[in-house]
Amino acid sequence: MAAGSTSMFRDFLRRLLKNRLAVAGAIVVSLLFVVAAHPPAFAPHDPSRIDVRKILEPPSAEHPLGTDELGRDVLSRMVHGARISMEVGFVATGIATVIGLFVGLIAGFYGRWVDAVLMRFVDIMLCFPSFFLILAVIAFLGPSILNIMAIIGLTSWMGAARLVRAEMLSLKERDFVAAARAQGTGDLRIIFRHVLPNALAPILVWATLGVAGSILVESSLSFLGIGVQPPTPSWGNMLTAGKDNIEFAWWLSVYPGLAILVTVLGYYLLGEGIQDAADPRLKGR
Amino acid sequence: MLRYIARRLLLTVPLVIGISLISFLVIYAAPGGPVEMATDLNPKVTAEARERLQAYYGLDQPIHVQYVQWLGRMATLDFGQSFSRDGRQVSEKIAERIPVTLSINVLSMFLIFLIAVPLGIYSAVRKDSWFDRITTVAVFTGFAVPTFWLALLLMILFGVKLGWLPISGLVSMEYESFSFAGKVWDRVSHLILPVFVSAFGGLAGLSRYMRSNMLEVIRQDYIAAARAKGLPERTVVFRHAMRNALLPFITILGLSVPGLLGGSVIFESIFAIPGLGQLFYQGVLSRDYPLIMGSLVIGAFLTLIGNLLADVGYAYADPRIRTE
Repeated sequence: MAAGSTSMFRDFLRRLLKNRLAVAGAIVVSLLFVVAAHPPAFAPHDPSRIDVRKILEPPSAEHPLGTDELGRDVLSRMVHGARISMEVGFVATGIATVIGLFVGLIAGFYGRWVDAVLMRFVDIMLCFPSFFLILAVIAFLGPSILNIMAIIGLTSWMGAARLVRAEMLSLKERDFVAAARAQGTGDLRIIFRHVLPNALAPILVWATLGVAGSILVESSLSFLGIGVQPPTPSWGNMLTAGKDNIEFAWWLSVYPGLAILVTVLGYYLLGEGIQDAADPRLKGR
Repeated sequence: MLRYIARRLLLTVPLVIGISLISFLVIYAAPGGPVEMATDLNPKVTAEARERLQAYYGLDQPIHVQYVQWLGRMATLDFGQSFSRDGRQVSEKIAERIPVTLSINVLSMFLIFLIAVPLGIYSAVRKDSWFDRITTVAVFTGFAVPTFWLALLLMILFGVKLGWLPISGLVSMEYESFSFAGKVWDRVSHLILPVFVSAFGGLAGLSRYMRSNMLEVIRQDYIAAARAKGLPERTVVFRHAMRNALLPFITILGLSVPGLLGGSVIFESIFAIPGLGQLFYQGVLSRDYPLIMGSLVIGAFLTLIGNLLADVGYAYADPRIRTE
């Protein structure tokens, strides 16, 4: 059994590495991890040093991506912003995945009215335009990084719940689950030992795409001024400055947005690659 | 068909109750309750507004009574008065904003449909061709582009550098002095960027979706049969395959309502368009709670209606659904 699963994993890795786009995505994500782990090592300047003599300077040797409306170095702020984005992306998706797993497992495993009630709840949550819901809750609680992580997580778990439930429904009919049950294995053990490991790949794919989605939502919120608050740098709130200076400083609008694009694209390509590698039959669909 | 619609309507009843419960709880779960919170955080709230709120929420009543009362008001679209200086009815303020948001969203759905369907079909028919590969990469990039950034870039390019298109509002300041043709162009030119930006978000997903529907349909036996009959490929693709691949698409258009509404917050605030999204955003900034709750409830019901229309439309187009 153990030998079988290692070779399956090896096959999975081999397929993943053959997919050039997925490898590109993995490289982008790894680089982001490195940068986000210790931003000061990569930032050429102090991201919060204000210099009134250097306001809105175009890109130069000293400031490769120019300076902002307070004379701060754009590249350094972007490097520090990477950390914020990664933190929000991971914590929010972590919260959503845990809730989604919990709801989906219970609904799928117990079926009947438990399933009906939980899935109606999912339907109801999906009726709220999530961006409206997020904004409404932020209006009540106030914007802070912790609130944003929690709110994005609490409003984005429904997809995971549906996915896990569907996996559950199909897995619990399989012979190996029937066999485990015939041996007298308890519910929890069946869920965690037999069903969950088999549902891991789709959950991982969902979570990878979820990180990208959360980063997009965070940057939109910060752009609107109700996400990460200045002076803490985030790609979204840097773009607000870009909008305010749209007529004089294109670099303020272009580069932070490019960072979001590349990051999100990296996660998407990686997620899609994991999906294709985990289930080659679905490739290209 | 009528029976299907009736059954489908019945299924929305628990959803309506659920939406109202959650909306009600959102405002009650917030620290301090609606009145405290409003008066604490918003110095603009006067003592009079405070009393009005106390009475409005009936805070002396037990919670289930409050919920029933609140439900009654929602049913008559009474969301209370806005906290803003004009103090107008929230329902009135929302009602005058909905047409703007709705028409931009309908236009952008139309644009999505017009581009995504041919793109998806062509990619599917020419699977793995260069065209397919390029559109696949473009679609992924499209997924990853933050719409507000796209809006900024388009504003820089067409508004600032080229000066071709206006970048804010629905009409120019000099609108009244234009000739008829000038007025028409003025309106159209103000809509081009917002409609494009709001369509962009859905474009990538829907063309991808159309492609996979089409791939699924093309593998079916009846397509093989149509080809075996010697029908020209054109007829097979557009008459036999496309029609079936479009069916699930109807549902997706309905399901994209919440995304479009959420997106309207972003593009309306960037392009200064006086729609529901902008109203909601301003409400959030000024902590205008009655307005926020009203917009949230209306947004959820618009979504519900979108889903309902999508399902009915689907059942109308595909008899298999009705008899299921």
